Amino acid sequence: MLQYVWLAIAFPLIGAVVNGLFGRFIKSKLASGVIGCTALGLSFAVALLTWYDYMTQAFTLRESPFYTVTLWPWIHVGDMKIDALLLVDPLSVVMLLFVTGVSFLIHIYSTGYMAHDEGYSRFFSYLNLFVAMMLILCLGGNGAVMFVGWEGVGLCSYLLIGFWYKDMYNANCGMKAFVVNRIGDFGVLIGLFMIMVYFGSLDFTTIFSQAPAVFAAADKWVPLAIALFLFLGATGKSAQLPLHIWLPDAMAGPTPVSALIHAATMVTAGVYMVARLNPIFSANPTAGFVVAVVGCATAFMAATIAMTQNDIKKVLAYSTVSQLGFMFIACGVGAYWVAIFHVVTHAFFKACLFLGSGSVIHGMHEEQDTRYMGGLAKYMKGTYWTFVISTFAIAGIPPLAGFFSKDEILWQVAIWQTRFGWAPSVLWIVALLTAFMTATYMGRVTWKTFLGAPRWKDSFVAKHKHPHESGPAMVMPLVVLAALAVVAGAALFTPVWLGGNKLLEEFLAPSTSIGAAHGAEAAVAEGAVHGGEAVMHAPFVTLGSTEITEIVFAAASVLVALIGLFFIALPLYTKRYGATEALKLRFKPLYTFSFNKWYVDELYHKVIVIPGVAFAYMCWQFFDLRIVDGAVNGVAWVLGALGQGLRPLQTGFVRNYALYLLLGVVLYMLYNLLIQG
Amino acid sequence: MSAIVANSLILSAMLFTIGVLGVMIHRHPVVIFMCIELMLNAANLALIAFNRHHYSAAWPTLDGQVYAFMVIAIAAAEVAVGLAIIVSLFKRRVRVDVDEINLLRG
Amino acid sequence: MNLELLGWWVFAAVAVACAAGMITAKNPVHSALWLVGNFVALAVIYLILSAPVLFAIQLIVYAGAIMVLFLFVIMFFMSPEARTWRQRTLKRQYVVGSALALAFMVLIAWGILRTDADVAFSTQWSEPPQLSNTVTQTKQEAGMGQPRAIGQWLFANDVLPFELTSLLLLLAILGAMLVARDVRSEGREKLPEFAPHYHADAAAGPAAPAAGADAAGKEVQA
Repeated sequence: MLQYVWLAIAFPLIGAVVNGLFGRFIKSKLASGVIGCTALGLSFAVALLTWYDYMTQAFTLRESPFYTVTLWPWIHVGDMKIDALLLVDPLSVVMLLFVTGVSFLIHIYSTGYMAHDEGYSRFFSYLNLFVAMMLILCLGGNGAVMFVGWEGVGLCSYLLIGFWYKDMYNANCGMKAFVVNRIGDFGVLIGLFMIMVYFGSLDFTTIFSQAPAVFAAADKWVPLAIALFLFLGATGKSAQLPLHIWLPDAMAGPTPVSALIHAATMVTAGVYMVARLNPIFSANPTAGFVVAVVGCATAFMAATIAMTQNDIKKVLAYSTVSQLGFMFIACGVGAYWVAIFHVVTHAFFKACLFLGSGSVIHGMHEEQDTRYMGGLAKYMKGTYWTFVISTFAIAGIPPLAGFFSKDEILWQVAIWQTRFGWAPSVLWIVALLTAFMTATYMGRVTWKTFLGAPRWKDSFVAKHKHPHESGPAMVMPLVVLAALAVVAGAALFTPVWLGGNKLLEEFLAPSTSIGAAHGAEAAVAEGAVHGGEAVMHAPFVTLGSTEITEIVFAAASVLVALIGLFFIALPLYTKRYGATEALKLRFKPLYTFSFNKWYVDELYHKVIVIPGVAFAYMCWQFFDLRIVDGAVNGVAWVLGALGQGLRPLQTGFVRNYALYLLLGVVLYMLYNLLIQG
Repeated sequence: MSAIVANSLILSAMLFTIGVLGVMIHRHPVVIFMCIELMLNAANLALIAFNRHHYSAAWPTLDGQVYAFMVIAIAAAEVAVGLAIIVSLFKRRVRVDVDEINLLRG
Repeated sequence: MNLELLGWWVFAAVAVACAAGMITAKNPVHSALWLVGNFVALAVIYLILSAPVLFAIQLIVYAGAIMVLFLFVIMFFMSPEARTWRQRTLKRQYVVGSALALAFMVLIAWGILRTDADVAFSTQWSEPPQLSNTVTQTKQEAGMGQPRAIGQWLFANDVLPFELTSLLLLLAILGAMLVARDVRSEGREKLPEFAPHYHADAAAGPAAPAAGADAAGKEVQA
C-alpha cells in the first residue's frame, strides 16, 4: 500500500471536483454529503492501510525509515531537479492518520450542521479540496510539494472562511486570513530558496542527510536565517505573534470549518513544518530560543485575551492560538515529538470543543454570545458531556489526553539546555501561568454556557422555548472525539513515573530526532555541560532527584488546572454569576486591554495599513499617472510633434517635390564624393 | 580622359542643371516638358562622350551611341503621349497650371 | 588648340546660351525656338564626338519632329501672352532651387575634374580621333560612328531593344490617339454607351426587341 499512498490525496480531490463541478446538478443534498464523506472515508482507509503497511515493513525499513514515492518529474531546469515526491515516514504517517480521521468525523458532522444551507455541495467541495491540500502538505517529500500544499490550504481557508460571501464582513475576514498568510508565505519562500542554494535540493531526505555537512561548511548565521524565515511562515500559518490576527476573525466561517481548519489541521501545518525541518532548527541554538520565546509569548497573550471574550467561538479561537504557542515552545526546546504529540491530542479535544460549540449555536438557533446562554446542560446532554470532557482535557486533568501532552511540554521546558540560562525557568513559569489561565477561561466558557440559570434572550424563548439537542450526525462525531480525547494521551505516551509508555516518542524518533546528535554537538561546542543524546538533563531546579522534580511539576500543573476550573470559574459563572462585573470595574485597564485583544489590530492599522495605503496612493498619483503615463503619452506627443513639424514639407506642389528630389541627389553625391572617396 | 570627353561631361552636367532649374521654376506643363527634353539631351551627350572615351581598336564598342539612339526614340514616344495628355487638358478648358495640383497638401 | 576643340568650344557656348535662353524666355514660342537652337548645337557636338549618325538623327527627330510637335501644341492652344513663370508663387523655390542646382553642378564638375584636373582646359589631344572619310572600308575598318558600324552593331548586338523600341513607338501612337481624341465628335452610332436614348427612338417603329436586336447587331458589327 505504501506506493499507493497518493490515493489518500486523490480521493478527496476527486470528491472536490465532482461536488464542485457538478454540484448544481446534484439535486439531492444527501448525495453531495455522501460523496464528500465517502471520499474522506476512503482516504482514511488508505491512511490506515498505509500505517499498517509501514508498521509491518518497519523492520526492513529500519535502515532507512524514509520511503519516497515519486509521482512524476516536475521541474527539471538545468541542474535543478524537483520531482513530485511523496515521503512516507513516521511523521507523515502520524499526520496522515489524524488528519484523515478527524476530517472524516467533521465531514459527517457537516452533513448535519450545513443541512439547511444552500451552498451544501460547494461546502463539501471546498472541504474535500482542503483535505487534499493538507495531505499534499503532510505527505510532501520535498519543500516544493509541501509548499504546494501550504498554499493550497491557505486558499481553501480563504474560500471557507468567506463561505457565506454575500456578507461583506465574511469576505473581508477571508481576505484578512489570506493576506496575513501570504506574508508568512514570503518567509517560507525565502527559507526554501536558501535551502536550495545551500543544499542544492529541496528533498527532505537530502536535507536530513546533508544538514551537518552543509552547516559545518557554511557560516554560523545560515541555519539561523533559514530557520527564522521558515518560522515567519509558521507564524503566519499557525497564527503566532505577530501574524496571529487572522485566526479570531476566521471564526466568521461555518463552525465545521473552524473545527477542521483552525483547530485541528491547517494551523498545525506550521508546527509540522518546523518538526519536519528540525535539523535546520536544531543547528543553531538561537533559532530554537526564538521559536520558544515567540511561542510562549503568544500563548500567554492569547490566554489573557480569551479570559474576557464573550463569543464562544472567539474564546476557542484564542485558545487555539494559545495551544499552538505551546506546540512551538516544544519545538523551540528541541522536543519536536512532544509538539507533534500535542498536535494530535489538541486536534481531538479542540475539534470536539468546536463541534460542540457548533452544536450549541445550532441549538440556540445561531446565538453565539455566551452571555445569553446558560442552563443548556439539561437540554443538550450529549453536547454537554463531550464538551466538559474536552474542557478537562485541554485544562490538563489526568488521565485525559491533554495532561500527558501539556505536562510533557512543561517538563521539556524545564530540562531545556540552552546558553540563555534564565530561559527555562522563566518560560516554565509563564507556561504554568498560561496553563492556569487556560483552565480558567475554558471553565468559564463551559460553565457559562451549560450551567447556571438560563439567560436566554426573550425573542429566543418566545420562538423556540428552549434549545434542542442536535441530530445524531452531529452528536456522534462529538462522542468519538471525546473518547479519543480520553484515551489517546495515555495510549501514546506516559511519563516515566507513570509507566513510561514511549510509543509515540520511539515511533517518531527517526523523523524528529535527526538533529539531536548535531544539536548535542553544538551544545558541547557552546560549552554546555552535558553531551550525547538521550541523556536525561537536569531541570532548572532540582528537588531531591530528577524524578521527584518531575512529579512535583506535574502536580503543580494539575493543581493550577483544578483551581482554575473549579475554584475560580465554577462559582463565578454559576452561583455567583454577575460578580465578574465588579471585577471588571476594579481592573478596568486590564480588562479593556484584554478585551480589545491588546490593541494589536489597531496598532497594525496605524503602523502598516495607513502608511501602506498612503504609499500606494503616492505610487498611483506620482509614479503611475505622472511618470509611466507621462512617458507613454510623451512618446505619443513626440511622434505627433514630429509629424506636425514635418507637415510643412507636404506642400502639395509638384515643383517643390522636384526640389526635394534634387536635394536628395545632391546629398547622395556629397556622400559619395566626400565620404566614400 | 581626353579634354573633349571631360569637357563634354561637364557640358552635359551644365545642361542637365539648367534643365532641372527650369523644371523647378516653370508653372506651365509644356515648358516643363521642354526642360525635361533638355535633360534627356544632356544625358545623351554624356552617353556619347563616354562612348568616345572607351572606343579603341581592340574593343570597337558603339554601345553609347546605340543607347543614345534608343533614348531619342523613347523621348519621341514620350513627347507624343505627354502632349496628347496636355492637349486633352486644354480641350476641357482646365486651367493648365502645375500649382493647381495640390490636393495632397498636408 | 585645333579645329575640333575650337569647334567644340563654340558650339558648347551656343548650347549653353540657348539653354539659358530657353528657361528664361517668357513667351512659350520663344522657349521652343531657343530649344531648337540648343538641339542643333548639340547635334554638331555629336558630330565632333565621332557620332555622325546621331548628328543626323538628332537633327531629324529631335529638332525636326519633336520640337515641331511642341510648337504645334503651343501655337494651337496657348495664348501668346501666357506667362509661364515669374508669377509670384513659391518665390523661395527660385532661391533654393538655384542654390541646389548650382551645388549639383559644382559637385559633378568636381567629381569629374578631380580625376584628371589638368585636362579640362587643356589644348592637347591624348588620343587621335577616329574620323574617317568617305573611302569605303571593310567591315572591320568601318570606323567609329559611321552608319555601317551603327547598323552592324544595332542588328548584331542590340536587336531585341531595337524591336522593342519599334513596339514602343506603335504603342505611343495608339496611346496618343486614344488620349487626345474627342469622343463627342466621333458620332453616336459608333459608341452605343453614349447614346442609349438613340436606340430607344429607333426602336419606336417595329417591334422593340427585334429592332433592339437589329440595332444591337449593327452596333456590334460597327
